[in-house]
Amino acid sequence: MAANFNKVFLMGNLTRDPELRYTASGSAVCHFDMATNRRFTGKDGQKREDTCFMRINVWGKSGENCANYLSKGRPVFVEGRLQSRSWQTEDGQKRSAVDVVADSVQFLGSPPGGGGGGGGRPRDDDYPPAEPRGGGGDGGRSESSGNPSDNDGFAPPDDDIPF
Amino acid sequence: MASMNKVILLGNLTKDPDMRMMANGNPMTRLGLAVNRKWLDKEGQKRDEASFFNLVAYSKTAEFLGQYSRKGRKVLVDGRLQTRTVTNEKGENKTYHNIIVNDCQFLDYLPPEELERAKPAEDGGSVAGSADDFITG
Repeated sequence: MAANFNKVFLMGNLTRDPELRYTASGSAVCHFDMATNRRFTGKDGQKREDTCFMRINVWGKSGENCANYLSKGRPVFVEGRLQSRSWQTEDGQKRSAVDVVADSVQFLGSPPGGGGGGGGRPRDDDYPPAEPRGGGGDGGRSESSGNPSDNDGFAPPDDDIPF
Repeated sequence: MASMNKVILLGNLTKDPDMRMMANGNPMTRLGLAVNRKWLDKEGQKRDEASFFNLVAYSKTAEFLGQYSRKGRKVLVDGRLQTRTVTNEKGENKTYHNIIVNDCQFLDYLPPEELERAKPAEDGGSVAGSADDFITG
């Protein structure tokens, strides 16, 4: 059987806070959902936007890092492979879904609450992850708060990706 | 805003192409792709697993795939992910994942007579139940 190849690259923003779990054997696995927007001009000349929502699984240490440092609204770059799953619902229907199993996740933008300087350090205060961001009144970053628009109550910030 | 959505898959087609004309007169072709993965587990046992994906191609790519795709052919696909969520009559949300093909390359050689022999039925009946498997738009 000849070789197979399966690679996916996604850049987008988290649509909810990551969830960390441990398997029975003790491996960490982090799940999060991300939205990737595609802008295009339709045949009628109208600008449109199409959003792709994907579920990302990250295993091991990298998964723990995602759970510790990421939160809803944060921009990330994910590299991994696509995986299909299928299962039966309680009423016997067949369902299938496609997930991304990440090999690497890069955190884009600067850490929340900070002044944008460097390094990916966590904030000192340990807040519950479900709380909205952008507080602190420092006029700093307000990535996902207060902007509930079309997609899942979340619009990605235009000015957050540093290139 | 910068963004990226890129998928590269190499696998085998799981069904013959389902090519049809859209309302705007452009062709659209739907295909199934299986991609295998092999690895060694913690005990050193060989494991393998297949993932199955729905492919959708438009315009020229759709014509090309409609003409040359056959079940079992090995193909390299470059595309992007698309998700569509629909609510059914019970109020349940169902999400469809498609891969929109930008570019593709067949990696096996199929002689022309073989290609002719393996031609899917004209009535399009070769694709079983595909209408429910895909939601595109």
